Amino acid sequence: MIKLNNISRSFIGDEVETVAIDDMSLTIKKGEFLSILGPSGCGKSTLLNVLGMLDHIDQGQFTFLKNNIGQSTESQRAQLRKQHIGFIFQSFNLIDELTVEQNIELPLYYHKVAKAERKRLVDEILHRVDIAHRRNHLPAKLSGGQQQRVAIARAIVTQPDLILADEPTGNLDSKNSIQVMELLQQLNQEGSTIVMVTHAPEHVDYGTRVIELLDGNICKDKQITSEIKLTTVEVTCA
Amino acid sequence: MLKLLLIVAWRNFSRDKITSAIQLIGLVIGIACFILIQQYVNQQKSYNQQFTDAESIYRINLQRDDNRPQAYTTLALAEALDSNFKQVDSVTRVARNNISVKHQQNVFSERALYVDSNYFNFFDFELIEGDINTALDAPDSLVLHEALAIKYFARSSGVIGRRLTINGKEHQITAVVKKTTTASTMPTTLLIPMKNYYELLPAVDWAERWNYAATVTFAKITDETDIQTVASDVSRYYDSRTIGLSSYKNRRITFEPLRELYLNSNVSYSLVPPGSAAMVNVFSIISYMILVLACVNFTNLSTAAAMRRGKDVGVRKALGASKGQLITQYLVEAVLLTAIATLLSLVVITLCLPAFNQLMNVELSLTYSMLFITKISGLTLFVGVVSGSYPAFFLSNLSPAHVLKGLVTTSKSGVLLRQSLIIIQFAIAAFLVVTSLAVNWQMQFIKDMPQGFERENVLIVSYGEKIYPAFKNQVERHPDVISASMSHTVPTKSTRTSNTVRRLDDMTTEIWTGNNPIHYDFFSTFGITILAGRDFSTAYVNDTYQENKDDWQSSTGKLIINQTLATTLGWSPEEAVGKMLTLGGGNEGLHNHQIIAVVEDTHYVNAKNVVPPMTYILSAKPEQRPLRWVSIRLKAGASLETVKDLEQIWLSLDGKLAFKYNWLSDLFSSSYRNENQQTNLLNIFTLIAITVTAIGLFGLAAFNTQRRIKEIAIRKILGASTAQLCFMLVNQFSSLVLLANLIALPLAYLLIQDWLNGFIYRITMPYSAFLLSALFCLVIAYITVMAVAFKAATAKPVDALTCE
Repeated sequence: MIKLNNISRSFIGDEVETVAIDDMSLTIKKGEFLSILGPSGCGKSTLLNVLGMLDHIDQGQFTFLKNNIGQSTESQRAQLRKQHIGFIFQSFNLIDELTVEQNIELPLYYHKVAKAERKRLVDEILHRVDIAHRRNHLPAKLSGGQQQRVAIARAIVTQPDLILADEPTGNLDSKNSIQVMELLQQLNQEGSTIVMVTHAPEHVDYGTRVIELLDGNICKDKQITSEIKLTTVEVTCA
Repeated sequence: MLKLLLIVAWRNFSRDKITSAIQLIGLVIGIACFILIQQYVNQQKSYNQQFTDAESIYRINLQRDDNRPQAYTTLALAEALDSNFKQVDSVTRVARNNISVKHQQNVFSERALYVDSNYFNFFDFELIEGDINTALDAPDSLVLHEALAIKYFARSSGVIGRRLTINGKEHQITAVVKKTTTASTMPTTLLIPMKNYYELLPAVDWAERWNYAATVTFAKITDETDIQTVASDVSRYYDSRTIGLSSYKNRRITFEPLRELYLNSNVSYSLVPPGSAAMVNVFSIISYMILVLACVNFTNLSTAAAMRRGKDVGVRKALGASKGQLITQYLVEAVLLTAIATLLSLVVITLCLPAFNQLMNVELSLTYSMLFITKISGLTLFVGVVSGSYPAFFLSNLSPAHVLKGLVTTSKSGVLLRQSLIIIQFAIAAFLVVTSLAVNWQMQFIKDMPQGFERENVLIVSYGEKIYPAFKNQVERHPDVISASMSHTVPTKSTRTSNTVRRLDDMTTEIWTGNNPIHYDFFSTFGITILAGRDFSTAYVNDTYQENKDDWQSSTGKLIINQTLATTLGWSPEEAVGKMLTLGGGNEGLHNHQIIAVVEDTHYVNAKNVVPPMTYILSAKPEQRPLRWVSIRLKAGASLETVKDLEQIWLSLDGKLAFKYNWLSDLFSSSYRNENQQTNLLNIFTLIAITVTAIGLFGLAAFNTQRRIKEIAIRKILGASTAQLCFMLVNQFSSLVLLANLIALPLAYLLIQDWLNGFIYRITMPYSAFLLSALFCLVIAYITVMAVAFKAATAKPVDALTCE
């Protein structure tokens, strides 16, 4: 589904050039639930932004569903993003002025889905993430866990091929975290490809694969099988 | 402590440069406009304040029946007031006339004032040289204004005793009047003793005629309470002297305070064209509106910017700052910014003054007197405190706990306030747009409406009735001249003689008409269409108007009337031709004259006045009936050479008489000069108001967009297109703009209706102006917000999301 070949991305700050991703290669297959681990500043978020086409790469090759992203225009990327990718953020990023229902409906609106269909899809997803009883509330009235469930609902309502989650449990307590992780796992089992950045090693087990980043490169890449947890295939850091 | 306040103020100013700059520009424009307009308004209100006795001087106006009051009264009035009315302390008269001044080999035309010798007791101008008490005593004396002394003698002093030939008679200069910077309604020109004016009268007895009014009379009355009584006494006296002399039934006298003369535009024949009190008031109101706009901008942007300083408040409060200290801090900042703005606006005014003076035909200058500086400082303090107080109180009221958690941004009341302020601004802008559209359209309508004459290629020359027959004869042979004529009055000038006419079959209905004695070829020279009948012609001996005072019945002469008179008489143009009319009445006998033609209506004064019924009579011998203006129609494209040829012909006939000419088209435009000036000024201020409003909106839009930057990023990630985002950002303002229009337009409607009702010839209520104004406001708002929105909508979403 995704193929990264020797990509690099650096930020030029005040006189210092920070290399966030350094000559990294990575392939993500359809149906995977990939967790990305690593200390602060190792390039996790940058990698996720690159995958979500929110950020460009300086060097290397990036293929997404057979599209060469390196040579695409901004509007082409926006189109791909709109059609195939759903985002979940640590800080939820719900729009404060819109109700739960309206927040979830928004991407459908931008996808030009007809009104009746929008209502049906929103209804369905509200029940699925178990938030239907709060559909007319504003985000500020919800708990963190509930907000994140809304955010997830919003990310998946368009049935994207790829879900990118940036520390989805970072602002949640453990009980809510488990709920969110179980929801993500369920989505994965239903066929969604998920890439998740996380700080919490215990959440890695919900996924199928984990990579660890250090200084802009992958230093560990393990497959996780449901029968035998923590079967690892080690890759040494370059 | 003050130093710290200033330092913090300065740092805050430079931290958010764009907002500060926008605040500053808005304030500079607002304050500059306010000061400038106020200066103009003060100047307009300051007329005649310079004269020591201004408070007790009155101009005597005469109102005949229901006509407009006029400043002209009879020459004999002064004498009568002096001897019969003890409440009147003293009287002085001013008559004006065009004169020919011969100096060395050149002849110049000037507009001179003929004045009584006590002129300077009323109008105590400062003299450069000469004795104010005796300057006008000798009949051949002459007082020059400084500018004229320079014109004739290239210096303003040492000219006493020098001579100028005026209308062929030598005059000796006795004094020079110093140029003043203050405005007065007394023209600054040559002053000639009144005695000389008597010699210009057609006959000596005109000086005693109570129905001949061509002099402005001023009276000094110290006791203000007497005015009403004196006025009615003098009215009765005047009436008793004129009864039966002409068709007017009633003459009323009013005493108008000298200091109010200028802004009372209702009186005709004033010595200088009057200003307009209504316009001065309108400008005054506009200046306040613009100042309010600027203050609103300031408040709006500082509350917006204050959101970003919420944390600052929290920290300060946590460290123990009192509310009072915080208020002081923010007010000092506001006043400081206003002070900078005021200084800059003084620079702006200095730069704009020459253009403004030219536009408004005034001589304003900034003088930094103590009073002015005090006023300006007061203004600064006022604007600073007014526009800074809401943000100051708002910020100092914040609870530190909330602020530190970053909860300021969602303040409902703040949003509401900012929105109402934007509504106020757009309401003012919409109001100004729609009124200036209406004013422009009405003015254009008046200028474009058929005037009843062709104004291009016509030269108007004043006086010269003695040389006219020969002049006409010679110029009509010039290849570029189509025709020449002479008349008592010409289009763009008012008529000064009148008739009373009746139908033979209805002698009881008297119709007052304007009367214009003319010479041959008048209608062809002015391009006035003859609707029915024939023009006066030398082929008919009986065309010439001749009154026989011994036997009124045997008076002869034909009449040409205008369409309005024909209609008033109940005839169509064709029916009117051939009919007889009865003229005369009062103490003159009745006499009948035949109508030979009906011509189209011609606007004489300008289109603000209704076309009166008119009669034209033929004065075959110009020196017998008072003909005043020579008119010459030239071929299109005639060059200045032609005009010089005409001047040569003129001067060859009378070397002492200046060839003072004007193009009819220029006279026409100058009769709308005041209106044009004021329309221009209105347009400029409207533009400024819109600019200030747009600046404010830009600032607020930038702030709002900044506040929503994360939301924009989220929406973008969710698939919103740039167009959708821009529309969303712009749209939030359209309802505000529309609401503003809803508030402003009914008000504008009432005002425009009222204003248009003051015109006889007017456009219908211009509803499209309202639509245009609403559209215009929307477009301005869209463009302004779009500038901000587009940038935000095309930004990379990730930047907004990572700046948590």
